[in-house]
Amino acid sequence: MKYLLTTIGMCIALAIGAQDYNVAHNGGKLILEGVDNAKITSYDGSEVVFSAKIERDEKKSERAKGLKPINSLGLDDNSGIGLSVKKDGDNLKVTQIGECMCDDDEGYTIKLPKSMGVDYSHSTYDSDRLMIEGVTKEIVVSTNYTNVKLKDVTGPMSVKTVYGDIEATFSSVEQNSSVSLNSVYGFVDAAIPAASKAKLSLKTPYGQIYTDFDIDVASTNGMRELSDKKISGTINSGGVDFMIKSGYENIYLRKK
Amino acid sequence: MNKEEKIIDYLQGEMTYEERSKFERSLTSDPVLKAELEEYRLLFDEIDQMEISRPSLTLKSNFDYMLESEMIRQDSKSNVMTLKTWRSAAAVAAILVIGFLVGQNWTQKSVINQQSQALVADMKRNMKSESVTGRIEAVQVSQQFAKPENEVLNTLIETLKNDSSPNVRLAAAEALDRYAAEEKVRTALVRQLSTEKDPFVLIALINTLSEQKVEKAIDPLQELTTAEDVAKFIKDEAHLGLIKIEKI
Repeated sequence: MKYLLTTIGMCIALAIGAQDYNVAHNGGKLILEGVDNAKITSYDGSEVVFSAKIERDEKKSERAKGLKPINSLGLDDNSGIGLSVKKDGDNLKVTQIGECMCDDDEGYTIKLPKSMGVDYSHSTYDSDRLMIEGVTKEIVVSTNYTNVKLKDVTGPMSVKTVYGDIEATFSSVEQNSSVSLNSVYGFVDAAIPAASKAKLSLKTPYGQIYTDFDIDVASTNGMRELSDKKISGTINSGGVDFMIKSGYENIYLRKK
Repeated sequence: MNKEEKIIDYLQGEMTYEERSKFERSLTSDPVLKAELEEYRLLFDEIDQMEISRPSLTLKSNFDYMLESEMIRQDSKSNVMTLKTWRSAAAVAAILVIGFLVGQNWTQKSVINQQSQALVADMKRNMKSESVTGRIEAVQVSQQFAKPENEVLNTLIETLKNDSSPNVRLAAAEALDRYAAEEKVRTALVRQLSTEKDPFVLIALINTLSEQKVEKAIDPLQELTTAEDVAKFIKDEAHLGLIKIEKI
């Protein structure tokens, strides 16, 4: 039985080749453009590691033998896994070339040094999820259809998506710059430690706001503005700007 | 923070909720503080209403003429202090006193100006930040102004037009929403409607313009609904916007 499993395993590994591509880089940002279904985690290391399970279409590769896919910007796949990876000043710029070579269920897995921030943008239907874990430098996300999941993050960050939902779990709320989470048609769910200091601005014109925090609502000339669509106030006597907006769905701000 | 600073902060609405309620509590127990607050409030109102009147050119030349003729007369008449000269001395003294009072008002105003100028400078400096969240924070500073300051509006409009990050442009569009009654802001938002490429920023612009029923936006909105390279959800929002503006 064991042998059988190993054989099957080996066959699968041969059919779907897992491949890595490493680049030494420190500081700056990892700029990702149109990279499908990315899972980004930070780790103690000095290299950015891209990995994907490459699914090769045999017929296509037969015809394309000896040729490289390129994109309209003239960038080519210099990583061997369908990504153009280039230094761009202090930053590392990564663009996906053409369709994802990766297995749809897996997408690209990217590990980056703790000193790096992330700037991710994606505008097509081809990517339905993005996961960012443990990144404590600045995170900037701009997508149209991608759901965004953030785990063990601290801010500063600015996330916006048109159709995607945003789910974020903060390990703490960094006080040096702002946090903003915006979705037009998706919900936003943020969990932050109960003792977090923040100046909140929560807006949802057509949704509902849910929270278990005690929010001190701001007042002008002794009058407090109370609305279930728009709340500005502070928690734990105020701190960094923390903005959540959803156009048509609910907002959830919970204690972690 | 001394008492005067507190009063100024209170009147400008720059206190946090806690500071404000603490201050209001001390007002009820301290009549002197309350009287002082009323004085400052009057002063603020006056400053708001005060318009700088400049002497017209004719007034100035008349004055010069009078001064000259008076000097000639003085020369011819010897240096005896007549009733007339006493009267002009009194007038000069009165002018000095008035000038002094106005000057005091001005220094008060300049204290307030200094505060908002410091904020504006802060905002502009942070606007040049490399980091996206830093620039968003700078945009948020604009929320601290009770009234739309020219320079603040200009900075926000500039950011909406030129910032490379759509996240920052979105923050600028949302900050301008508060000032959408201003003609200048409306024009900028309408203009951005035809140049903006980011869908989220576009939706924010459409929402603001349609809620404010800005009729100038009708043409660019109609263009959006028929444009070929525009995503369906933006066309839907543009249709919705048109309905809101035209009250169909």
